[in-house]
Amino acid sequence: MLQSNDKKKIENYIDKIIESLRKDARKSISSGMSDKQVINKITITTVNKFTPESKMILSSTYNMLMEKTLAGSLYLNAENKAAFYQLDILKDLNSKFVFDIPDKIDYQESKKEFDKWVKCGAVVVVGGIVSIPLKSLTPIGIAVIIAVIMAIVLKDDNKVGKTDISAIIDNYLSDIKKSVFLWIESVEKYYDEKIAILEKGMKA
Amino acid sequence: MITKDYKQNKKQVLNLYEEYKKSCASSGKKVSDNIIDQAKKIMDEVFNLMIVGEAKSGKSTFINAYLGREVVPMDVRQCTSAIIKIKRGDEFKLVAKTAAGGRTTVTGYEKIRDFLKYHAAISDKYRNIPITTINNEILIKYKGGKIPKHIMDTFLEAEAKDNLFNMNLDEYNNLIISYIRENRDAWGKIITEIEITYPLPEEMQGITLIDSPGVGAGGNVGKIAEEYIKNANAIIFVKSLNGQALESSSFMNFLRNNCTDRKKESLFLVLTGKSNLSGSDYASLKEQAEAMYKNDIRAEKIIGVDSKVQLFLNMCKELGTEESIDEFFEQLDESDENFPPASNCWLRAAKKGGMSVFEEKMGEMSNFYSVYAALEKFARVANYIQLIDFLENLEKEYQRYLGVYSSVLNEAKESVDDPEALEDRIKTKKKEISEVYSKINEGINEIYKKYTDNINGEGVIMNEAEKKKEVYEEKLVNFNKLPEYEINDSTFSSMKKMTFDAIDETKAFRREIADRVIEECNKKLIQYTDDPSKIPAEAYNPNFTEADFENIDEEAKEQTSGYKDVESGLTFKSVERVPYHHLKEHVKLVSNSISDRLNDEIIPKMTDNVVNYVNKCTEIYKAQLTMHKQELEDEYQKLLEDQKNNDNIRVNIEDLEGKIKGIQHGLGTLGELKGELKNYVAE
Repeated sequence: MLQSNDKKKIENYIDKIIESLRKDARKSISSGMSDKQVINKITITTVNKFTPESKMILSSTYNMLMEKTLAGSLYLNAENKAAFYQLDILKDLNSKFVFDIPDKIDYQESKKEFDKWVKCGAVVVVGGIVSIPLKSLTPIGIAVIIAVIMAIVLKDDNKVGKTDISAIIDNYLSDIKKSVFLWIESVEKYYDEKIAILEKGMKA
Repeated sequence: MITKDYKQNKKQVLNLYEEYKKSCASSGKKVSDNIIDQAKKIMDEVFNLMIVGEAKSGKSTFINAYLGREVVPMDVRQCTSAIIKIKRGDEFKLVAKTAAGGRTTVTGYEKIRDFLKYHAAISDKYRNIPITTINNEILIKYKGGKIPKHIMDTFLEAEAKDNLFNMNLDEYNNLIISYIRENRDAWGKIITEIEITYPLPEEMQGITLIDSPGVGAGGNVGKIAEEYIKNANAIIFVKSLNGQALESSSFMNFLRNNCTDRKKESLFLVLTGKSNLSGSDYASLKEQAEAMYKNDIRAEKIIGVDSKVQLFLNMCKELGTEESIDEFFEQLDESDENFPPASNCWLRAAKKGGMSVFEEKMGEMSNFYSVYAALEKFARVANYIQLIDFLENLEKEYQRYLGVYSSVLNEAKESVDDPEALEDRIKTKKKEISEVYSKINEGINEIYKKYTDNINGEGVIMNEAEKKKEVYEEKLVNFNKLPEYEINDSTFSSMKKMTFDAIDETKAFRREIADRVIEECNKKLIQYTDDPSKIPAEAYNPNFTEADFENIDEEAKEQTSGYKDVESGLTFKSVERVPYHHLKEHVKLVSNSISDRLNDEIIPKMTDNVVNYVNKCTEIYKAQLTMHKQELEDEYQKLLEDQKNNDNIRVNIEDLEGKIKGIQHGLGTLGELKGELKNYVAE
């Protein structure tokens, strides 16, 4: 379980990334780009920046969780500690996602893939916010999720040109932030379940 | 100084690998996958030698002289947009691929010559226009469809610099337009690649020679050749010493437009037609070339040769006897095809010692030995490093087993007559293994955190990528500061090259970081095992090989990652061609576009690439560590199972001593060869 100060640290970090993306978007809007161009640019930039950031946030989350686990008395025993490392939950978590940035964002293909994941329950969408329950064996592409969130926002906001572009961007970035938080919660849950199984057979 | 060439050294290294495999088999150990992969890469090693040069520079003659056989017909003019790949094969065969995906196969010298003459050569009418570029950038791209006017205008404007023969510009443009009209519908028949196989000597196995279409004055080789250049182990730029001015711009522009800084290291300049010049004229031209290109290419990589002399030497060697050679020169004389440098040399050699003197003198004149030697010395460095790295990995594997067996042997010997004491000792050792394993993992996690965690760690990867971005941004600022009168073609070429260098740097950057991470992990490992009473570090040491790095590269390329984009430089396609109005304003626009892409695309993709790479490396490192830990535990377990029976323990001790002896022998031979190769590379 993440401590509340750890959660705060992660939130502050995500806020910083979101703010820098918002600044980029404002710059694009004021440069006279069309709404369509702005949307395209902010989606690509968010995919490019958030994909590596997600991997690093996963590393941070894991480090926080691990630190707390290993502080427990069970792990004073050398063999238990070795068993924890041998389990390598980080590797397991990494294999659940694809953190590569695609050469080109193909919205139609991304949506198709996303719909497949929704159908098999690998991802869940509620009101534009995506959560990944981590039950599926199929690795989930972070870049695809980030791109598709924009498609959902556009559908909900009733298409480009009719809604204020700044509002679309704000909704998009807000949904991204909420989705990232849900993702961290899933990671936390998955980690806790793995630890519970590991600790079951451990002797102090 | 090394007395063997690369092929001989490779054979010796692979023999040592066979010995290693045998010793693993006799100990019931599995050879690790990365060692098998690395050996396979050495066995299947491909060496791509790319030959580029201006039209009529004597490229085909040089290729035939280099190969020692007339594989490429020399009386056929430059082929269209086709790349010709030549490799060793069972028969003389040509396979041509067309833009629409068609294939034609031709066998035998005459048929191949005719095919190249009638199907793949440029017609007289169009030989002064840049056919390769037109084929690739217009005909194949638009596949017979309508070519937008603005594309055509920009294309003609850009191609004006490839007007090699200084034709009237209207006439030149009309020829281009007429060529496009004539060939638009037949775009699918354009030959894009030709592969020739020939029964070349055994030493050519694994070497692919790539003959590219002629380089234009602007240094352009066309999109297809650019792809090959990226993968070439060595590039030979052929330039004639006769007729074409030494300072003609094609070579310099080729350096600027097609060679990133790292690619320049594998570039050689071969000046042909040496024997047509007097000794002093040749020396002065070579000196001029060395001075002219001194910032881009080392003097030892500028080599003057005479391909025709080498061709004659090859022919005479094939004739074999002095009588046949006499007859050959007489026939040439009678048919008025005498080649005085060769016939005079033959006459002089006849008086001084015959064939061996002739070979020596002709060899000196052709100077091809210098080409082979320069390639062996510079272009083969990477292959030698690969051999050394492989030997080092075999050495580490041997040392690991030495560590495992020595520590188990030590315990067994200490308590050979006291089973209970032995059991206690083994239990203590098992605990030690768990403790060391945990500590090393803790260390690895700390290192991973330092590099990838921006909240709890230092976020080294992110910070260093940012620093790189700042360096490039600063360079862009300098371009922006240029006064209008200093802006010209080369300004845009330099901006383009700078961005390609930035893209090119990703690979070096990720490797640099990965090397640092692994080095730090190894240091931690030594730190935690630095106690003579404990199991030595070698017994745990994950053997991270070059093959592991390559597997990560390949795995990444298979996925739809940003690797391809980052590596191929597609990102900057849009700034390749620019209209030349309001130059200063244009430099600003291009530089802003580059800056945007650096910020939004290049640097994030670089970071993503490096983080994924480092993650894979640490995963492999940890997996190997776990595997080695288990191997160690298994050895102790074996000893524990035998502890009740003294005889078994004694057999075990004998067995361990035998294994250790074998390993020590293996390490000795390995060390010798490794030292020899290391000295050669350091020279």
